Amino acid sequence: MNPELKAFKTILSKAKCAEDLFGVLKSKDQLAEAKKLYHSFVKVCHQDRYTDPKDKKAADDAFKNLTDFWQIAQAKIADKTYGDKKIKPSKATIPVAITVHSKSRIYVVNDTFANGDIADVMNVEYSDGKSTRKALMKVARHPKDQDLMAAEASALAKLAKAKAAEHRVPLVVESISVSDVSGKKRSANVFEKMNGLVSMDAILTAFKMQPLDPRDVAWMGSRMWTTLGIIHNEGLIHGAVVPSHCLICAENHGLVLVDWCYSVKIGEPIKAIAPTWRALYPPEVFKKLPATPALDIYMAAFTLTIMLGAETNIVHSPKFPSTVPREMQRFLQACLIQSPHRRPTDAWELAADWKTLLEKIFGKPRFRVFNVPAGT
Amino acid sequence: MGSSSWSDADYAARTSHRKATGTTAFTHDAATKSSGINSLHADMNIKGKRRESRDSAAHPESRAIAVVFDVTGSMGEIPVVLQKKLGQLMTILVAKSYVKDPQILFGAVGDATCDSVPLQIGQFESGLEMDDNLGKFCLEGGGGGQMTESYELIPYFFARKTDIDCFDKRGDKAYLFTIGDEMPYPKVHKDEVEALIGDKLEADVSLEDVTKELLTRYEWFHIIPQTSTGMTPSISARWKKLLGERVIMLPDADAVCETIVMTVGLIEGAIASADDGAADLHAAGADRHTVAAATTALAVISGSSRAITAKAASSNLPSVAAGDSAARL
Repeated sequence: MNPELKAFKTILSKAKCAEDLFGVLKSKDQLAEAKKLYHSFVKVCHQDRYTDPKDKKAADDAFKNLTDFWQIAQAKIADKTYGDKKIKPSKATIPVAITVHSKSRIYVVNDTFANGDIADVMNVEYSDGKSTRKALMKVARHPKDQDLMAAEASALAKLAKAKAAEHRVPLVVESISVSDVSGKKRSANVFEKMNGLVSMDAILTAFKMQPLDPRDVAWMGSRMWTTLGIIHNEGLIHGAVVPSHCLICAENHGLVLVDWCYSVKIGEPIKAIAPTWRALYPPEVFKKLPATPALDIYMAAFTLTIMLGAETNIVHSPKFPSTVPREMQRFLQACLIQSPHRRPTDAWELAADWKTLLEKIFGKPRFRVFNVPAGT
Repeated sequence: MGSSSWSDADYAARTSHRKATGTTAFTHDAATKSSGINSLHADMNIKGKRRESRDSAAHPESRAIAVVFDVTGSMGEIPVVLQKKLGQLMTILVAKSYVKDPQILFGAVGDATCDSVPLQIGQFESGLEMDDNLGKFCLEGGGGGQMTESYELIPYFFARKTDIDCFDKRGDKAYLFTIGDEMPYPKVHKDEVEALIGDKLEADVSLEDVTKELLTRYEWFHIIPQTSTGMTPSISARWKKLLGERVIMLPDADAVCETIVMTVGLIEGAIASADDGAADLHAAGADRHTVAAATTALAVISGSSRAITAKAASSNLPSVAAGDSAARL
């Protein structure tokens, strides 16, 4: 057996309680101190470190054993009884640690961050060797959706190489297939956590569906057209530009486009749609025609139209509130033309035209503070 | 389909009966040959049909494995070898737990531009029926002589016309092994698809596109036996351009069964290397020469840390009701 693993197995076999394994925890944050130790132990127990099937089995057994001790240690730290070997933890506080072991990392899965159309997004932590890093793990609910998760991974891998896309799309830590307790293989994409973002959908809810001030939608539109220009340059179509996939950073007026599962290369037809947003898709999607930049432009315009509080029962002629400047209404309406051939196809051109339009309506650009209601 | 179980004893009994009575396993072929007309057995005709590999009470974790061979010219021996070694193939897959409930389909391909029976596809079967299916093949023995066969119809059929519970319910990709020593045509022709499979396509589909589509649900490997045609560099180069490491150059055509078993074992992570697989095969009584041939052929896949052998990350992630998948168009 591998000597390191063998040594750890000996320690485990001698340990009668969590304190025997984790020792005295001197620091103020006992949990953090224990967690560090736990991560170092987990590394030794990682199956993929070993090639011999016997070692793999031994590592797996050791891991299970370690998890038991780890749960007790966490519970006792929470109980403030850690250190007294005789006291048992109050059972209710023992958390069940959920972990995902990829080839190179071990993720500790915490709470659910969001439930998407086809996947659940979880808060996770992993150690990069130096410190514990926070990330988001998006796990497909259905094994069938592997292709969509792979489409997301490949689109984002391409965009990671494009400097201009930085801070406009999520960064992938790794893409893996996860076998859950029932043995189902579910694809997962792990993302670096970005802070201070809120989706346009959540903003609508927070404002109780009240229309946004056109001056706020103004900068959101600017970011939208530029972001689309950048991704179209890379030959990609996002394919699902809807309020829940457009995240806003209120602080620096940023926009991050998430959920790339529906993305395709320019010229390929869209394979699937986000069911809750069916009404926002242009007709060519349902005809399975090749996707062009006009597709994203249509959906982006639709999203901005919704943000402006327009009634969209008749898609090609939405009814905007009277507070929305006419020029802005006409601009968006032109992007909602049903035929993809007659719709604008160049997001860069739109970005420039939008800028001219804003200057005409609102004068010179000034930074406008956008306050997201607390708790959004 | 695929509701009965594989039994080694039943298979052995049938084989010895065949020996005693002097009958061939390829009953349909023998019948057609004696009549002088090449004909497609109704059960092998896939026009307007799909093929299903489903879970059942007896086989809760079905795993689809399709084996499609070239029946022309130099490759005529392959189905005979498959038939002979079918028992061994199933025994190792199940007994060594490479996969839990294998359901095997056999198919044959020829040249759609000149053969009378270019595409024959059986059913996914768990039991002795797969031996019956082998009996329904018409072994053409023609071949175009221009180093090309209609292999491109195979990925098209499996990508679009099969329902496989292993993938649809559990995310485990099915297996497709194609065996042949010639090249595919560059495009799936819409008129051939309509004539043989029954789909009406708006346009031809490139082999590259259909391959990409297939690989999302199937682990596809192409085996090139090193016959005189199979040794032609342009042929292997064409396949490698399409499938990369998924092309297996096999020195001995007799070793196809061993090669299939080992490949499944490697991809499933049931064996760590081709040598481990060889040990399992020897234990099951396989021939030393063919095992050696398979081991050599799989050197590329074996022991690699490449994406094709990457295993799923283990986890104690709770299972969720997989009811809601994406709204597909």
